[in-house]
Amino acid sequence: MGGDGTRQAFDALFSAYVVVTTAALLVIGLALTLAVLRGRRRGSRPGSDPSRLELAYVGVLVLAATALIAVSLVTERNVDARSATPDVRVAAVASQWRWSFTVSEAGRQAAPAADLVVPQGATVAITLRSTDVIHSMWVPEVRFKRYAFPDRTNRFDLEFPDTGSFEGLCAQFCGLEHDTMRFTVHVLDRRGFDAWLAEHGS
Amino acid sequence: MTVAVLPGRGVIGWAVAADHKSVAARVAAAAGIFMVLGGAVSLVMRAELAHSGMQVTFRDTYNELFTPHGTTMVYLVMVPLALALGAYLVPLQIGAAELVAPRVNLFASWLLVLGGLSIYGGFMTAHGAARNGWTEFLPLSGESFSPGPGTDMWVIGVALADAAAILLAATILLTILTRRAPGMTMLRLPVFTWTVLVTCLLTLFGFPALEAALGLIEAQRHFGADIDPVAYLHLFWFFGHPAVYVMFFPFLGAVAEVVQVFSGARLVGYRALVLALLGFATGSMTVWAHHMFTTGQVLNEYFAITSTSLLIFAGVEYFDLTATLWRGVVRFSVPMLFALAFLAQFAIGGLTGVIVASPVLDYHLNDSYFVVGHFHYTLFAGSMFALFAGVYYWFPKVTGRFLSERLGRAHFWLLVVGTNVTFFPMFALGYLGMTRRVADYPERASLDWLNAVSSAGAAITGLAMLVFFWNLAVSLAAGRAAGDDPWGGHTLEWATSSPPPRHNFDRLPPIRSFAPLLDLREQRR
Amino acid sequence: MRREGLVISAWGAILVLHSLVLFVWQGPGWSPLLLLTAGLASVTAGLVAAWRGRTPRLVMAPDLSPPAALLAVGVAVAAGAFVAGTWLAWLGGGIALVAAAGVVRETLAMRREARR
Repeated sequence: MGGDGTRQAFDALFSAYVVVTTAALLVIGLALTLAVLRGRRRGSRPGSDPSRLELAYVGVLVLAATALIAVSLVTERNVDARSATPDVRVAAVASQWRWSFTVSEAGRQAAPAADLVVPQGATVAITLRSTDVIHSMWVPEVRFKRYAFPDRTNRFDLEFPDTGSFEGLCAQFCGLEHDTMRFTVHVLDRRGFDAWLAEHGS
Repeated sequence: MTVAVLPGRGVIGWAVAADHKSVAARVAAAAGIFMVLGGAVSLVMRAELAHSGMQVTFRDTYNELFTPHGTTMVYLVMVPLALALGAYLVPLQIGAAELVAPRVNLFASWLLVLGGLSIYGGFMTAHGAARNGWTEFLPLSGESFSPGPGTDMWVIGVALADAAAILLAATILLTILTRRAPGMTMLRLPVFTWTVLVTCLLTLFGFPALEAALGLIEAQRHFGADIDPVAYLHLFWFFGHPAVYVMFFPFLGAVAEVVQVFSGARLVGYRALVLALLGFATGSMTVWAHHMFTTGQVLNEYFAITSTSLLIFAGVEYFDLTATLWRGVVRFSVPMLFALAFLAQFAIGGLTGVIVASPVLDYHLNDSYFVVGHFHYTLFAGSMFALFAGVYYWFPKVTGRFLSERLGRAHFWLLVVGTNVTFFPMFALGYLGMTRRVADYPERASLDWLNAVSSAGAAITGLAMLVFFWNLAVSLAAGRAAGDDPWGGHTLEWATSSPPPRHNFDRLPPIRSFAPLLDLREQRR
Repeated sequence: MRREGLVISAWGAILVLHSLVLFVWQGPGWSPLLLLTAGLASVTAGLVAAWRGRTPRLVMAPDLSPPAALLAVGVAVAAGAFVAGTWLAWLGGGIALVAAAGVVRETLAMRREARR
């Protein structure tokens, strides 16, 4: 289940978080509005001791934090997991200011290219490094990015559920042409990918 | 008892005055000038980003803009203002005549100014100023990738400014510990002073890591040392995260004071708030690697736990401030307007922070405009609004004059509209795949109109700030006179003249709680 | 100045605790090291603060101090050595030395004044 559905994992978790945080914002807004308007209608009175209410409220906060942490950690474990038997391997190299992807599958390897070609639905094991400064490989379509370091390799699995062409970009400032350091991910169906690999591979 | 030694003023006198009020005023004035520079730069940035394509600047120039923008706002504006607020007010709030080691504070104030000059001096060099962000990660900030003295001048400037902050924090902390007036126990310190106390802790024990990180840059640039980029990241962010809380706590403290005074109520849950502040400060030191979630080099789980847990402490603070508003009758003067807006807007910033505290969410949102929106909501729509609450509240004490209430309202409303219109679209931009620190972005309808809206908001924000500086100028010259205690304050600074004399107090009222003047008033009723 | 310093030590102790948790969880590395350093530094600072005696009743506070401002100039100029070469370190050091002498002179004068 390595790198399983990063997009799916993000979308589900993000929806949950947006619901929770929006609810919290509404509660805060409501509480502030009521607190501010209350005094205008009545004179101030020494209120009863709110410490029990505050304690209960802290309890709610602890529960909320725990729940958020729990779903986050579980989701992360799934997303970060790496398959022992990926379908496709990609060696990704970032440089100032271009990308290089070398795709291989079952002994066949394509020549390094500036764009990334992968098959739909397969587990793609990526090794990522840089030749100079820190870069970051971001594919918004699958909601994932990783730093590329010059002195170590990052490994992660990705899965691309839909065919099509998607943008990829560098997400860590790396100098003059950082904003144009982009690439395209072409996700092909099984037959298209086999054909592509046959044509470009060795 | 304190004996003043020398008389004499004039320009030289003003420059070498060591008393805490002069030091604070000097630092605040310098920060104000830097704020104008850093803000002007951001307006050029937003003009460039309004539409896809390069219309206003060259790529190189743009990078030389966003770098001083962030650099200025962090090292030369918000951190110094946080400490200047403390330097001015802490002795007054605790009934002391002066800060510990005035000459150290004088020394620090000039380190800050000289540091700022060094950073901006980079613009006058052949290769130009530093241009790799306020973070200047290695290896990019190394000699081969960033040749020329601009980066070195940046490193020196930041190192001086950082040292200045550490020194000021040390003297302010020592003052709180040793110079409290009789009767002022730690648990009778005003809330603002408590927020300054934790700010000093973060500065003292978090900021030295920046000096180490800067040392790594110079080791690479001058001695060709091979530096582990992850080492730099750790050292930088170990400083960088406490830094953002340094740029938050004193301003939160200002809001806490304003909320109490302008609702006429004593703070609800003082002890809980103090505990929450201390817990929040501890937490602030343990979360830094959430800036490194996408590096694959840190234990994401641990930092996700510590980062998300911060909401507990923030929640307690919100509870106590809201309960205080509830208990009192709210007066909608300008300080209270800014305080209320802070509470609403900082919530947006904080809650989006909870979102990016989740590693998987951060995998998409890190280094995107979502994060830019998040930290501008906390630091601008949050901390800076809180700063203005404090400025409009304490200006009469410092100068003996009121800021114009009418201009203050104009400033407030323009700023509310401006900041929200500028920064809210950024959440969408980030989600849609726009990365940060880019001079340009691909031509796409969604990116284009969101950026255009954001840039329009920036123009309104700029206008709001012009109104503020106009208010400042006009009020300094001819503002309505204010007495000792124009607002009905609760804390000791209102028990002396406006402005206070050199030794702060002729006489102190009895201190039996964290709101001594409120006690006196209630007693007299 | 007594128990108040312990607040700082308690604060630092929590950081040390965090560093130990991290050390057990992930092993040695930058994260536990940074927390341990900050934690031990603050625990120590708090203990030192709690240990020292009371502040003297009479405190001398200078109104103006040109040497302190000059010292900042000296330090900044010396730091410029990273940009313009070692000669700036000498120049800055010299200015700083003169300034430091001025600061010492001031301090001695204040102590004399306080004793009167």
